[in-house]
Amino acid sequence: MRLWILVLLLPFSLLLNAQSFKEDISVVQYSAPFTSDSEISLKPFNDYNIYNFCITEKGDIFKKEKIKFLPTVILYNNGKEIIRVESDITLSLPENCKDTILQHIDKLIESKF
Amino acid sequence: MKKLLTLIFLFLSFNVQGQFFKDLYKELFKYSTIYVAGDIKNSYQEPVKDYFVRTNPDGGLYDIPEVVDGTEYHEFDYRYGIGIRKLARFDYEIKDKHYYDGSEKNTGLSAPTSAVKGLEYVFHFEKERERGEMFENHRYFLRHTGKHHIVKLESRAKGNVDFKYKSAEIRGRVPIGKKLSFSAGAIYRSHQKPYGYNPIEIWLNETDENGNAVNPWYTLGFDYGYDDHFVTIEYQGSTLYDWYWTDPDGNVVAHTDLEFRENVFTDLMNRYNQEIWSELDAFGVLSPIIGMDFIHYKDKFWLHFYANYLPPFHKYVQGDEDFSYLNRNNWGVGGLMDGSEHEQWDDYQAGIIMGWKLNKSIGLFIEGEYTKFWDSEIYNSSIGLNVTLR
Repeated sequence: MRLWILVLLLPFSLLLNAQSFKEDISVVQYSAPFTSDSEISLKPFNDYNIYNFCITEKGDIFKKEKIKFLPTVILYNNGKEIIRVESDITLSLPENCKDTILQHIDKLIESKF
Repeated sequence: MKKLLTLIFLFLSFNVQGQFFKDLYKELFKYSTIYVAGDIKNSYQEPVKDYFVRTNPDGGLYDIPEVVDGTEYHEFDYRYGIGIRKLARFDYEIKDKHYYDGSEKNTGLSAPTSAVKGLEYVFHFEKERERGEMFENHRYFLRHTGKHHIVKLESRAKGNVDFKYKSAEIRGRVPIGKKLSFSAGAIYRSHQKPYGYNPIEIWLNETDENGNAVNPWYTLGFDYGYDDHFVTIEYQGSTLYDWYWTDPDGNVVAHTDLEFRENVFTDLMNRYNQEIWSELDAFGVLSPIIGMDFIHYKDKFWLHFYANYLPPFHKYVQGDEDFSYLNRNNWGVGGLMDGSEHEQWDDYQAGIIMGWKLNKSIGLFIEGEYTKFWDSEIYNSSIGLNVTLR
């Protein structure tokens, strides 16, 4: 019986530890201390997973995700990148950044029904 | 000035109302589907035809008889219904068809948590004809899921199996990370059947002070209009006797007591039980509930495990408690045993859905759900190993 419980619990613990910022529907803002004024508020995405990553703390993730412009906002769904909104030369995100991401989230949600 | 203020006020009021209705529509109806659907199919056909012979009406017993097809034929089966649904599928669930028709079986209907937060519902009503009989079915389901709460209402009826079930539950929810959550609260459930209570057994086993049956078995036949008639047969110098039975219309239905008991009496027992059970109101029981949900989804591997446990602290709030599940083992000769105590029980439900695409060619899929509520055990499971040849 104990063996069975261990066998059942093992995959759970492995999967729990395998959590990442790309799970489910996630909105991630990549930024830096010098671009904090250009960041958008992630409050409109409160119903989903939201993350604010700073290059000084999560540099490895920036490299892995090939972040070239700061700030950048990326929408992920179950590990896949759905859309990437990057800032322009003035270091500011497009005005429609929030709406663009919301539109894509809307499509993702709609596909579940 | 007054007019201007009134106009501004009205404008603002319309705007506020407009926003309110927009939000209301978004919460209630966005992503919902209204459908009308139906199907027609062949009814069940007996695998072997049933023939019998009838004596030729123009001849005698030894003339060529008439062969009659006694197989039961039914008109075609059909089903039509109407519904509205807003129920999200989990990422691993695939939409069966391009349209909804009310026959969908979503994990979201039984798992404690849902694929999306917010309001979800299914309101489906249908009529169906099966083997010539008409039935009405419905499923009404309403759930609101938040980060820290689950509220769920459900009513189901399936006419062809005489199944009726209602439930209402409210739970607090504690997410642990993004994949695991625990919940606890209270649930109300209804059940129709008085488990453990067998009226015919009690009726037949009732005895007087001398230990004789108060209700001899054959008196049930009299109660339903059947009658027995004494008959004697002279056979090889001996006199045999028995009773033959007639139905309320005077037709002979059994030539001996034994034949009556083995055939007609069995139906009468079931009829008696159904009549007594139908006099009882439905039962409603309030129980604590503890649940958990674990969901991991990736394209190549997904696992959804959920479980509900209802510990033995059930309280009946509807129906006659004497006939409730608390007394399922307390019925004896003559009725409820003196001094018997209520007996609590555990109910539980668990489900698992797992998919593992080992590579482009091989996939392993496991699905299963087990429910034990009262004396009812419902389980279904499937396993599939797919190998795609390339």
